[in-house]
Amino acid sequence: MTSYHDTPLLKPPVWTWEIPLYFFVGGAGGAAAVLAAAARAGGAEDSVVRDARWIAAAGATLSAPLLISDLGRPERFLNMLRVFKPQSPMSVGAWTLAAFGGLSAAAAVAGARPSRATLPVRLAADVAGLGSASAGLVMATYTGVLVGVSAIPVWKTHVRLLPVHFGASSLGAASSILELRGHRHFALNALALGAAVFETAAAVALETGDDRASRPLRAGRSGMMTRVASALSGPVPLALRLLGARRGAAASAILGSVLTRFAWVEAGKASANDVQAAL
Amino acid sequence: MTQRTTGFFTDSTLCIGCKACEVACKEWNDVPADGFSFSGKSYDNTLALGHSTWRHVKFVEGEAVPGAGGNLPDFMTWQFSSDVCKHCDNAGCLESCPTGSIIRTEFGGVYIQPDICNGCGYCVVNCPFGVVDRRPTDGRAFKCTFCYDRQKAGETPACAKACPTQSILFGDLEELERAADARIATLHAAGMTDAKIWNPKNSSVGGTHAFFLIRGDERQYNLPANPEVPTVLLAPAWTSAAAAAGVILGGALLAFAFGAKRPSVKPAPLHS
Repeated sequence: MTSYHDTPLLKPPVWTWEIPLYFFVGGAGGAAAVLAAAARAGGAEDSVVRDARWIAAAGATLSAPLLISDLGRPERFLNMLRVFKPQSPMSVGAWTLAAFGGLSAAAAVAGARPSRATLPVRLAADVAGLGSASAGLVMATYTGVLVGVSAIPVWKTHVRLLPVHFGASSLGAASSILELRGHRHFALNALALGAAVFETAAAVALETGDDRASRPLRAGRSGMMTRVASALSGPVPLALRLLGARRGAAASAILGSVLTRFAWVEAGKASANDVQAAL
Repeated sequence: MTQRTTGFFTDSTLCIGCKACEVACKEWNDVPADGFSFSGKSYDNTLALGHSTWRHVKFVEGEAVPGAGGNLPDFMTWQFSSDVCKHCDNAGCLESCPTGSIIRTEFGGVYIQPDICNGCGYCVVNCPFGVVDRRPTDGRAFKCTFCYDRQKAGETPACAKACPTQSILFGDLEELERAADARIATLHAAGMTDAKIWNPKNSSVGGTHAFFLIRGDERQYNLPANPEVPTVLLAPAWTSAAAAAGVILGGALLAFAFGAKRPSVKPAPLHS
């Protein structure tokens, strides 16, 4: 095929490790906020709700420094809130993270001691928790939109899969973190199981495709990372859960969720260098 | 006062590969050097546009055409083409910029305001032509400014001003498009039937303010035949995200509603 001296057409993503780690931390935190609200609505023990809220707040708190340190000009991070642009997934994400940070922290702090809290404090925790869960739903899925809406062949080819894939990965990770914290709740196992089933199906779909744009998911360093991430997110936790090894399944799903984000960013870098896929 | 919409018409059949445009651009815009490296690819060690290359002359090598222009049968032909930011009508970089640093100027160009850019890098992956990039030594994203400062003063951009063969024409966009059509007619009449205009007006990019006269397959110039502005992917992406969010929320509510009746284990306290 023809190209200009086989030189890449596109520029690879400039993002370093902070960004894929943020995709994991922000996503898991977002899903944890949803779990907290659902646990509260379903009448689960206060300890599940409280821990899920703290995980959400921790995710939001870690997200900001990760994002800021990856900027070329970190001191200008507030420019992210200079305008709101619905057509820019990164603008939507910046505003969502700002809202999520405040609401998840409020929910965690106000709900810290539910047994001793007065009614207004409990109410404040629940209202903040609902807001945090709404923002959390965006946090868990929008990073898939962020990379999918781009000129990078491997990302845009999977623009429909990515938000669901990252969402499932976030849900599996949040449930697993709560399980590793010691909560053995039916809902956490069921949700993590559902995420593992979806991730297994996604892995099969990615592995069996044969389009040029998706080659970085199956070849080279990024292909290796994708395969390990897929195994750790899908079939391994699925099998361990069915065997009753919930802690092992949880650890695998969390590792897989982190690696999934690194694999996709690495695949994006490889894809930008594939001039044939871009032309 | 409404300003005229300006454009670049770069005619590769007139380019002699002197790279005066590259030099003039660097000089005027104070663009740093991009290193001494040997690519081994034709007479081109720069290879592509980038954060510190805002004009780039491509050296496209073709089959030997004995007799054409005095070529010997054992020498390949050369086509030169000075590449530049396309200044798209639907610009991926501009749409994706979260800070509002990237704007449309009164001349229709796409301009990165250097005092606003915080170097997030999102425009880099949203340009379908690989033009904009983050400069590691600076932290911000850079690309052709369309010599916004010179245009404001009524001047021609530096590259077009320096071009010794009028391969780079600058002016009113509509007039340039008419000039390009006339040039194509002339070249076709002279027998150069593979000459054509590259301007993706029928794609989602919606036309470019910098367009090119090239010969043959556009892919040998690394010009995509059907470029796509990433914003067309917003609807499928957000639809997918909304569906995922719905399933996650519904699943979590259902799971905890069912789980309420089942026994569960609480964790040991962190401090005992």
